[in-house]
Amino acid sequence: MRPTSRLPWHPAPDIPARIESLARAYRAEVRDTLAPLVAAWHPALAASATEYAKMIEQSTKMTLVGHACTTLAGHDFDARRRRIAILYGCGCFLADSFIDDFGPDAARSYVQRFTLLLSAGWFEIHTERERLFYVVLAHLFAERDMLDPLLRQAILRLHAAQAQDVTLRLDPELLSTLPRRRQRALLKRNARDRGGHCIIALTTFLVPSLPLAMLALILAAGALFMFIDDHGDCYTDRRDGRLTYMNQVREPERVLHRIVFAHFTRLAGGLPANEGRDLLLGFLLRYYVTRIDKHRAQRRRGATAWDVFE
Amino acid sequence: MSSNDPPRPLLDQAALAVQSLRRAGELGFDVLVRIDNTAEAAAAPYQFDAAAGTLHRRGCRAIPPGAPLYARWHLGRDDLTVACKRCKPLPDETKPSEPTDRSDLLLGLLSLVSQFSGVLKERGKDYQKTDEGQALSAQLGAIYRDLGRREKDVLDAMLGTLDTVIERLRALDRSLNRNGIDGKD
Repeated sequence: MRPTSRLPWHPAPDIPARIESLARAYRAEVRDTLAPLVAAWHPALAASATEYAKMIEQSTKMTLVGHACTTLAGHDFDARRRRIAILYGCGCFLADSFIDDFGPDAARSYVQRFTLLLSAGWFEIHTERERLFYVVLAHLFAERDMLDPLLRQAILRLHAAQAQDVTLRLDPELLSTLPRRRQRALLKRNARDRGGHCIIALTTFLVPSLPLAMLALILAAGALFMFIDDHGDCYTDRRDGRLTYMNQVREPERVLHRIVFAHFTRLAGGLPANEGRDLLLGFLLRYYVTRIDKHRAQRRRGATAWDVFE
Repeated sequence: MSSNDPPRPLLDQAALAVQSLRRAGELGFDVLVRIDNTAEAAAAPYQFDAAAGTLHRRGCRAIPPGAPLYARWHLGRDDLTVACKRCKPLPDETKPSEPTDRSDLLLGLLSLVSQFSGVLKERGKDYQKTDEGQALSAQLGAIYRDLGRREKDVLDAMLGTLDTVIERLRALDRSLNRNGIDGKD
C-alpha cells in the first residue's frame, strides 16, 4: 500500500499534472535567471554538472513553494515574485553548501560571517562561490524592503536554526550530555525551525503581510518539508556525522508517516481552500513519496551527497 | 576582463566594491546596514508562538521553552482569534512605537554618503588608471561634464528629499504587493 493512501487529504485529479507542468516551466525560468549570474561570478559551478543540477532543482522547489504560499496569501505569483523565489532558492542552496560541503572550519566561518552580515552589513568574501552568494543576496535584498520587521525576524531565526545545526554537528558533546529523549526533542525542534523559518522568510519576501494564523500554518508546512528532507538524506547525514531527528529515531518511515499524517490534518483543516493550499499540499505529498524512494534507494546502494532528486 | 567574458552588471560590481572597502580598512564606521532586530523584537509588547499558533503578551508564563517567537508591535482584530487565554493580549491604545528602522536607514545612508565621498573619489582615481577604467571613463566623460554644472543642486535636493523618497518607495512596495490582501481586491 502506498504510504499516502491513508492521509486525510488527497489531491484533486488535475493537481499532480498541474504541479508537473509548473515544475517544468519553473525549471526553465530558474535556468534563465541564474545562468547569467553564475556565468559572471562563479563559472566553475556551471561546469560542475551535477552540483549545478542540484542548484536548479532546489531553486525550482523554492519557486513552486513560493507560488503556493503567495497564492495562499491571496496574491498573484507574478514575474517579480518568481524572480525573488528563484534568487531565494539559489541563496539557500549556496548557504547549505557552505555548511555541508567544505568541512567544519568552512561551516563555522560561514556562520560567523553571516552573523556579521546581519548585524553590520559586512560579508567577507573569500571564494568565487561566496562572491556569487553575496551577489545573489544583493539582488534579493534589492527586491524587497529589508527592514520589514517580520522579514528581518524570519531571516534571523532561520540563521539561528542553521547556526544551532552546525553547533550540534561540530560539538556533539553538547548533545551527548543530554538524555536520549531530550536529545531527540532538541533535534526535532531544530528541524522544525530550519524548515519553518525558511518558508516564512521565503513567504515574507513574497507578500507584504501574513495573518498570524496563516504564519503558524506556513511554519508547520516548512517543518514538514524539513522532516521529509531529513528522511531522504538520512544515510548521507549519518555518513557525514550529522545528527538529525529523522536519523535518530528507530523506525524512521513509521515516525515520518505519523508526522505527515498530523501535519496534513492540521494544514488541510486550517489553510483556506484555494489553489495555494492544493499546490502546497500536492507538492508536499509528491515530496514525501520521492524522499521515501530516495531513503530506500540510498539504504540499498549507499549514500552520496551528489544524488540529484527533483 | 577579456571580450569573451560574460558581462558583470555595474550594480553587482558596486555591491562587491563596497564590501572590499571594509577589507581594505578604508572605512571610518562599523555598521553598513543592520538587519538584526533581535533587541527590538525581544522588547516588543506581543510575542507570537508560531509553532502553537498562539499570541502572547511579552513574558507570559504560558510561552513554552524553545517556542519559535515572532514579535508584534500592533494587534489587529483578526489577531485576537489566536490570543493566549492566560495572558489575554489586547490591542494597546497607547500604540507602542515600531522599531526605528527608518531613521536607522536614513542615518546609515547619510553616513555612507558623507564618509564614502572622499574614499570613492580616491578609488575612482585609482580605477581610472586601469585599462577598464579608462575605457569606462571615456564613455562617461560626457555625462560627467553635464553633471558637473548641477552636481551640488542635485546632491542637496537628493539629501533634502531622502526621507520622502524612502517613504514613497516603501509605500510603492506595499501598493505593488497589495493586489488582494485579506481578500480585498
